[in-house]
Amino acid sequence: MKPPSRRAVRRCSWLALPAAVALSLGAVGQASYSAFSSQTSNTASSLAAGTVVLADDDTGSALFAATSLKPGSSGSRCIAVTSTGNLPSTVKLYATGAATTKSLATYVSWTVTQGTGGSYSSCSGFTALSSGSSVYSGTLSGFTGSATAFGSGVGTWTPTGGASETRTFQFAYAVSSTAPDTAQGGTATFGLTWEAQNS
Amino acid sequence: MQEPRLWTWRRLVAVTLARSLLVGLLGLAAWGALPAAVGWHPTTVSSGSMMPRLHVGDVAVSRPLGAQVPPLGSVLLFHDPDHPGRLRMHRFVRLDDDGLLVTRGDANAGDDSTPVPLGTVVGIGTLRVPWIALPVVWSRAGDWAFLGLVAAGLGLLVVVASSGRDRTFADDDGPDEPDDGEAGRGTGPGTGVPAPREGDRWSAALRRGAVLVAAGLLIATLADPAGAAFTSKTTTTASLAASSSYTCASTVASMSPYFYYRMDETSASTTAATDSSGSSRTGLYSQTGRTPTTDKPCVNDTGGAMTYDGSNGALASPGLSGGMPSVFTESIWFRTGTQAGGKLIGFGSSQTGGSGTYDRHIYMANSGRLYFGVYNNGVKTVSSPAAYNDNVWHLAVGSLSSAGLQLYVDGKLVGSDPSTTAGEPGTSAYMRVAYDNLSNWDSTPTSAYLYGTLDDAAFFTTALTADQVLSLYTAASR
Repeated sequence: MKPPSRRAVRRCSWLALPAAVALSLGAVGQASYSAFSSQTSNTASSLAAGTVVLADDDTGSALFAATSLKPGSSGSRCIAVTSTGNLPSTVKLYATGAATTKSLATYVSWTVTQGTGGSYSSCSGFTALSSGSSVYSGTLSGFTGSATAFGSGVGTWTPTGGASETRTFQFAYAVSSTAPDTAQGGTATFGLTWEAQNS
Repeated sequence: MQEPRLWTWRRLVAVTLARSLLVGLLGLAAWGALPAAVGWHPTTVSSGSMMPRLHVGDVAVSRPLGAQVPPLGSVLLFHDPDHPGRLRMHRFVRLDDDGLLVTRGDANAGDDSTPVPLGTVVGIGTLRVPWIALPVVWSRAGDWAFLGLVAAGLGLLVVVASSGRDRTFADDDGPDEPDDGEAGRGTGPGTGVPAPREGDRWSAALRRGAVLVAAGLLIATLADPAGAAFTSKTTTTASLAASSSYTCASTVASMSPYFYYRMDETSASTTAATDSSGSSRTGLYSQTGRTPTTDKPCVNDTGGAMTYDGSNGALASPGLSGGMPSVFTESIWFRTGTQAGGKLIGFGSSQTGGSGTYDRHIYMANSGRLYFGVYNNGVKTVSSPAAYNDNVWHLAVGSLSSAGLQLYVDGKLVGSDPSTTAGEPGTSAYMRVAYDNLSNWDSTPTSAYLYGTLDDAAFFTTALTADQVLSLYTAASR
């Protein structure tokens, strides 16, 4: 076969431009269509290359369901939270839907301690971290008022994502011995959320 | 000069492909970066939380919202509420009650925990340029091996694309046009020998440099990351409820007692017994036979209790207007180890000494069992199966009403008689504590005086419910 002529070479060199334009137009157009024209999300967690996954061991039960509290009443319980995601993440603890009547939350002290061992069914075996074990210490109203979202949440746990990690949180409440009679019959209810976001 | 080599078709195809790829890549980068010139916002997708719609390394270009309200289901770029200074690109799924936008990563199991106000939305996702910013992601993650591979690949493309400059043509048909750019470079007019001029070389180098700088600028424009919000949550709940009454005193007070003797007096000789019912129906202690003590059944309460000696100690109320009550509840805390029994609380026709009419009383038999009864054409009693002379605080409560006789110990009903609904009538009635006549009652104890410690004697003109009786008892503990 005859080798390409000068004209053929020159024409081919111009061919590169429209080919490239078509390539990029096609790629961007198609990709944009599939990414942004769909108005609904599809459940695709299995497709995700990386995930963060968080679970606790309360099996749906409440952390506390205490009634007939009086000045001086106290209680504590542990919950073990496990991170099984494969992305490094930051875990924050915060309160949701907090409600109190008769200002009871003002008269309840609230401490959150992190450590290892222990579980929802029993705190036995719980060991606080040797340093930085205190996650929160103050009044319940202070906690539910300040830690209300991931951004304002408390905690220093940062799972690496390399392997499953479990951390146990010990919660303790105590009704102040000086709680006034005006707090009689008061209630304090709230949700606790641990949220992991990849970092 | 060596013999010039000729172009081949195979080389021509390779060169053309390589050039197309290179220019195409530049074009992609331009798609990602150039919209910035008209105020659109290109960002690099840095996490897979929108998989499979957006992939890590994509460039997503958002156009400003302007006055437009984003449609439900659109993908929005907004300031990350959880990480100041970061951008997040997630789907807008609904408005919450406060009018905030609830967003969600397609690959996440749940909505983002913090809804965002409309004002934080930077733009609405419009263009997706696939993969083009992968080098940005790799360099941020330190994946130098990938970067090196890509650089090598690009280098190879450049080499292939620019090869053939030194090739000559098999024929030289047709008139020559002047050299034009990277394309038809290489030959002087009318000759088959490559003879690039000096000026051409310089301008080619300039062009190449300009392209490199432009490419670098494009890549740099793409370095703004968005995403980074894979999330997972786990939750629990807590509820704390304070007792409606912290103390025995407030619990009793909430039930409107007619007499309420807390026996907190600290004098063994003063005979006035303070009535805490609010009506100052001051009671009368015996002058002897009793000792104040700091012992008490109600740990949350102030004050103490009164110990009676089993031979002289007693307490009585003033006369009850209207005479003997037909509907009532009486209640008293006691702690005793006596084997001789005695009266805990009841009604008599006299304020002191043994009454002529005496019923509506709770007393302890020698066995330690409690009896509660009235006189109604005969002695009518109910009794507890268990004994309570165990030196531990107990609460005894008896009530009479149309529901009959009911005896509670420690908040639980231990005996009842629905058929007995009335006691012995009488116009003179005093509430008697620790002593009164007990002659001829069931299991009459050896002693009418009780030897033991008593506290919080209360009398109500209603029949308390079982729940009220239970709360009287639970008020004592913490």
